[in-house]
Amino acid sequence: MASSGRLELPSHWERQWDVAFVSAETPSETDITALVQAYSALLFRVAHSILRNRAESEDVVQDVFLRVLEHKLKLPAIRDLRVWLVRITWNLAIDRRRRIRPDQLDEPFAESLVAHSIPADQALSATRQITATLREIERLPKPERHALLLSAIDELSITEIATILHRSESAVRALLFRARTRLRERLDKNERLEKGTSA
Amino acid sequence: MNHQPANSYPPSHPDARIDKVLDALRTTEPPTGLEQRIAARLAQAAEARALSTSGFATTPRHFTTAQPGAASLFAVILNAVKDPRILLAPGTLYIAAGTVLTVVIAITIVHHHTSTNTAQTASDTGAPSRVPHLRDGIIVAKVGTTPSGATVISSLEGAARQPRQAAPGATSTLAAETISHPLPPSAQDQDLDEIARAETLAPSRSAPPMPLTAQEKLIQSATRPGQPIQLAELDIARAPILRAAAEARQTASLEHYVRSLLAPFAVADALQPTTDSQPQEVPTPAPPTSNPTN
Repeated sequence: MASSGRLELPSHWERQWDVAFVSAETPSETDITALVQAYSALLFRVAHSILRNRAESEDVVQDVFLRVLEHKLKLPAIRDLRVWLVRITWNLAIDRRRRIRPDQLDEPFAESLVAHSIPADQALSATRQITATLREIERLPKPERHALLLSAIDELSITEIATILHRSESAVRALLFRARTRLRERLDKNERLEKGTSA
Repeated sequence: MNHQPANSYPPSHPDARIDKVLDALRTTEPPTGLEQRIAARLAQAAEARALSTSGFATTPRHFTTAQPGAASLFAVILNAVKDPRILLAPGTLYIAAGTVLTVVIAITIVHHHTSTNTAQTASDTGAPSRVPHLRDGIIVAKVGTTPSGATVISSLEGAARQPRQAAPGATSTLAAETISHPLPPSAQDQDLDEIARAETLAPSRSAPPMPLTAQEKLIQSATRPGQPIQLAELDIARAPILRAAAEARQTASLEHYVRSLLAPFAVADALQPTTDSQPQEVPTPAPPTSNPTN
């Protein structure tokens, strides 16, 4: 994962944090519990798309809600809480990803995707293919990689992805198209290289 | 977004591989109990935050005005005596207060000077207040009262409770008698429950280092300890340099060893230059003349 992959907060959110919240209604603990119930699965998937490790992803989600608890007085002023939570999760996951060697996370995830009923040699080959795909995803340019990984989350619409990435919807669609095209070309090229080497 | 996996591709096709990975990311289910763990951690964080920021204030409205660093240690100790729950606060000041309080009470009990004061403190606290302070899985100290109303100090490590023994030769004071008495089984079970509950609610730590991969284990098993040169020689580019350096190091080591062996002789020669040590010149006989008649 590129080290400069951290997203920046939108300017209107930054402005909102500076507003006085004296008259704002303070969310209660019940509200935060409702947030946990409503968004924990989504945030887990967002973190998992970056980290590909369940334990690390759960830690990230817990950290997100701890931050929500710290800033609970400012929650009523946030326009789109769902996107805001996704953004916090995304940034925390990227921060955590920087401290971990990518291979340590991708290989167990790839092994978990391979069926256990197939022979060992086929399982090894499939694991290598998935690992290579994940590695090529990580090698994509940052905007394309972010768009592709966010698109893998069903709950996020193109509009929300565009808001998170600070781009227009058409730009997000173009990023997705370019990401898939580039990824397909690279995987195809790698496969041809491997076949040529083995031959 | 709704993505339909492309099933028309063969499994080895790049698009099929991409779709497989994205589908796996899309269909990842959160682990069971995630919400409960998050809620427990939030509750723990909120409680710790309330205790650390409000000190002894009963209402959490003093969050913004309370300055825990400004409170004096003496006040903290006094309040800890009143409400031992404050020892659960994560601030170091409260930990220090708990430690000081424990030491003070221990000294008091051991020297049997203030048995009446101890009984008075126990009567002030009223209900049993057994509050373990959990930090890094080790319960540092416990201050509480038995049902009989006497103060008990014990030091715990993990789940094993080790009551402090009274000083040898102690007379029959109230504190010493109370310490020597074991707690009833119900109190011990309650302690274990509290420990287990605290362990459950403890914040999660960072993951331990990942295990070695298969390749790393293979390399580890293939290498022989103590012979790094052989391992380094596997690197073709660096092998000649490393071999030359190793030979030079061996030669230098051998020379140093020989020099250290010959050093006493050299010193002896320098201190006592005798004729024995000098090579004697043997007079060479004159070469016989080949022709004496000449």
